[in-house]
Amino acid sequence: MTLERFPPLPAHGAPGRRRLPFSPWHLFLAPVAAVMLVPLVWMVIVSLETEQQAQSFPPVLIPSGLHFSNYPAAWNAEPFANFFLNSALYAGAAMIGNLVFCSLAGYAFARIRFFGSNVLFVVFLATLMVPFQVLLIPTFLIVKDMGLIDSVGGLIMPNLCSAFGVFMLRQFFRTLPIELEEAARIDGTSRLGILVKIVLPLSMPALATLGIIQFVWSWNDFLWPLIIINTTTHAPIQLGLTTLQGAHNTQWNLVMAGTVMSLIPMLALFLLAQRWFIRSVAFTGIK
Amino acid sequence: MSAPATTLPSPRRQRVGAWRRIVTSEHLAGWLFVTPAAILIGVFAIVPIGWSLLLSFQSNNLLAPPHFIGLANYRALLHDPTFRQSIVHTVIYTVLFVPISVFGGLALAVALNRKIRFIRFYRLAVFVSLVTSTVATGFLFLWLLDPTFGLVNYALSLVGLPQQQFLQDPSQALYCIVAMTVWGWLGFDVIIYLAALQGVPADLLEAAEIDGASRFQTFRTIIVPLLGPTTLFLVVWSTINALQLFDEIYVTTRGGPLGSTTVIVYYLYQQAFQFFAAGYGAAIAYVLFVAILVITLIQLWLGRRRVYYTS
Amino acid sequence: MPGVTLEAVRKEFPGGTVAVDDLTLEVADGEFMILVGPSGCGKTTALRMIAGLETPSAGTIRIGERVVNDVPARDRDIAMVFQNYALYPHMTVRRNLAYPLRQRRVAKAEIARRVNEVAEMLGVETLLERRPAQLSGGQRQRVAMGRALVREPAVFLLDEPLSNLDAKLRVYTRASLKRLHARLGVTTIYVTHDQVEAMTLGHRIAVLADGRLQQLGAPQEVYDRPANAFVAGFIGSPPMNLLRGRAQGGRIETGGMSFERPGVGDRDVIVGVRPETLSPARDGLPALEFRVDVVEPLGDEVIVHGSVAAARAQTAALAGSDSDTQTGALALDDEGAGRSEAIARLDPLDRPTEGTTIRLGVDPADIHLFDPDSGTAIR
Repeated sequence: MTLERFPPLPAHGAPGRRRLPFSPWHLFLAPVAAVMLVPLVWMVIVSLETEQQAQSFPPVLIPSGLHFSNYPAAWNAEPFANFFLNSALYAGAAMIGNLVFCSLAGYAFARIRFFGSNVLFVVFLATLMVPFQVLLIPTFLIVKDMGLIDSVGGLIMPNLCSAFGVFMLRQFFRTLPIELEEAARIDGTSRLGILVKIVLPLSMPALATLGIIQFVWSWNDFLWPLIIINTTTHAPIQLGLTTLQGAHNTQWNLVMAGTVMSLIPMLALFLLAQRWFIRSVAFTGIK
Repeated sequence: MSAPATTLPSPRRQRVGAWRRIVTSEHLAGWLFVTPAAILIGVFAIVPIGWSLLLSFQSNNLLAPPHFIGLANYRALLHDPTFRQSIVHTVIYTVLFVPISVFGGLALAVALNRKIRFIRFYRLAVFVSLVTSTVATGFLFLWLLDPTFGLVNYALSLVGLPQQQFLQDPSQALYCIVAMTVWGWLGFDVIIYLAALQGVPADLLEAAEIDGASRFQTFRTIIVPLLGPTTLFLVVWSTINALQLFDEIYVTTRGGPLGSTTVIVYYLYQQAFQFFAAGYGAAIAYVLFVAILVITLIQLWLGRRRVYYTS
Repeated sequence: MPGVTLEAVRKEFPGGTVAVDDLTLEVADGEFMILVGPSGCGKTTALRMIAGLETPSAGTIRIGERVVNDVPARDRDIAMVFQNYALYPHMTVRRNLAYPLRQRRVAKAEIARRVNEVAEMLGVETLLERRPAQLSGGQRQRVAMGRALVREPAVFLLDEPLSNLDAKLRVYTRASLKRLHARLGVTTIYVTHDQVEAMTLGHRIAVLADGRLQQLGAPQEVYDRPANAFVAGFIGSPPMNLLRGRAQGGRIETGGMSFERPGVGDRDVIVGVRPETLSPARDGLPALEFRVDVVEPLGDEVIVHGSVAAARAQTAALAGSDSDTQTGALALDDEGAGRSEAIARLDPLDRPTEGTTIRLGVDPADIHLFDPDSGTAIR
């Protein structure tokens, strides 16, 4: 499924009356697009202004010079290198963990008949119904008992495997033709071998979707880091941004620069992998 | 002809054979595959669910040993005016956020589902806000809505309208949060609706055209009903997310001004992690859980009777 | 009741594909016109232009006296039955049938009356409260027809309505369609790729290929006097045998036979012989040397597949249409490029033995000649 195709609309290319030289839809879409883009454009503009320009009324719409110096200033004001590293570790580990563990479990539920599998799957699904806030306090206590407070490990551990991922991959694996796996079994391949050599290569779209969903979610996660991270050394990017804003809350040019920096990785992912990004969002609706 | 004599294997052989059967059996393989996920989900989801319930029956300040107080936390919630206010705020927010983002999403998806010039640009403009994290969105709007230096007040002044306090005005702050989160999430609804719109068979629309339906009638009588399952999903999904609002509140108003944006989850955060009343916080969480469950079930039940599934 | 006229209609799609080229056609009031041809010949595009779902790139389309090029589909007073029926899945049969009337704000009582009348006429009155998903293919087809009929349109358009039905149902529905048309007398334009439907249903048929009209006429006429090699090979089942031959000095030679045909000149020709005109050779008749390969007994006749000593006719008009039959599904002894497959229809009493070579004769009056370059018939 790609959103690049345009389906024929009622009587597409058919006769009708046209009063304007352009489609009237532009009158609706152009203002909406403007409203959607203005905050982001403004963010970039402010990030390039001096403190005086940012703190002036009427606001400076077009700054006289481009003060790229805000960026290194923000970078150094708070340990942004740490922020990005921690986020990368957190999101990367969560993504890999999910891909590995959810594949294993998803495959087992999809293809292996084992004792208690139905009960276990229902239990997994049931956990999806419980909002994170219910798990928040006890998870905090568990991570504390593990000694992982204020560490990236503490961020990662609860997010290594999600019931959502198990469910999603199980559903997907079931759609693959079973004959391929049966042929491999007859050839003597082990169950693990079948998963790795046959099923996973065929599951790239689902794996990419799950990977992106998990990576983006972890990158943008705020509540959990807020709870367990206390120092800027171990803070991921979203938490780090609030530290920046807290310490420099009149220097909005700096804060905006920091915000732009925090968005660059996700923006890059979006622009490069637009199809996958959109597909993974649409997927949550198709399930 | 007599059948060849058969002898049973020795007892030792039988035991080894049985063990071999178990070891090479599917059951072991299945459990081996599932164990990592089971442990992780067990420790980080199942145990917390139970522990949270237990906590809600305790007085626990995360430092001293907790003691059991039965339903006292829940009874206290019933009489807690701040909690009641947080429910009101959450409901107001949800009742505004869900229809605006879902039906706005539909309207935009219909507009974006055509082949006019710049359509790629328009689509990108709508999707891009999904890239922003909740924190980034909060900052963007905090600055846009700044009473003194914000762009929005500037725009108002150009048109001759009075300046507003926005996030610093107790009567306006919550509505600003609605606007902010709609901006951040609209793209999600649009993507899902766009995918659903493209799943509507083209010949149905042509048949409706020939049957005499105008574009709008086709939309109302054919497209909207066929989008029923999608709409139901988005309403349920948006409601669940709206009831759990937290990040944007923390980043912009911290529940203020004057507690006017304290929503349920924010109140939970305050109680559990600022006042260290963990048991109380757990009780709030459970109340929220039950509320979400009940509301979702009601929505699904209402939807089932109205929504037609083509399959 | 108006007829439909197409004058020099052309449809070119962005990207350069010309789906319909210079099509001129007149459907008389109350006539049942069939547009027939292989996939991609432009028949569906032509139908959609008449419906108003596509705009012609050039030319005029008239319904009655009115030029409708710029008239939207809903105002043309036409009704269409789609190949996949396009029934509204979320509505009951009754609401599906009522939909066109409700869109035109017909009074409720009148809607109910017409819906019931049409439902009875098509035999779906017991299905009115069901949804399309609960109907069989044949039932869906009838509901789709009902939805078109309920409006009592001026023109009735059908896009391969029988193609999704199984063989038995198709035969039955063909007859019902014919009866329905006889009873209602609505101008009908029907698109199909099946030449059997074309022959049995239409008052006149229009054979299309590559976007162009190949021949227009009553079914029997098109069968008896095909205008070109394409029409000759397309109409008639099993298809006409088309062989390369040579005209010289007033005689034509091909496949081991020779017969008189004056006025052709000295040139290469395509010789067309219908399988049903072949019979065991008798004195005085030109005869083909026919090597029998496969014999298919059908009860009242036998179809004999074999080969003759003549090259297969290939013209520009034939290339690209149903090439499956041209490459041949039969295995033959390869004796070089000089042989090609041929088919004969014989009486069961004359059933030949596989592997033998027989001589099959044909009346010279039944032999068709075509120009090898243009495909046009030589008379």
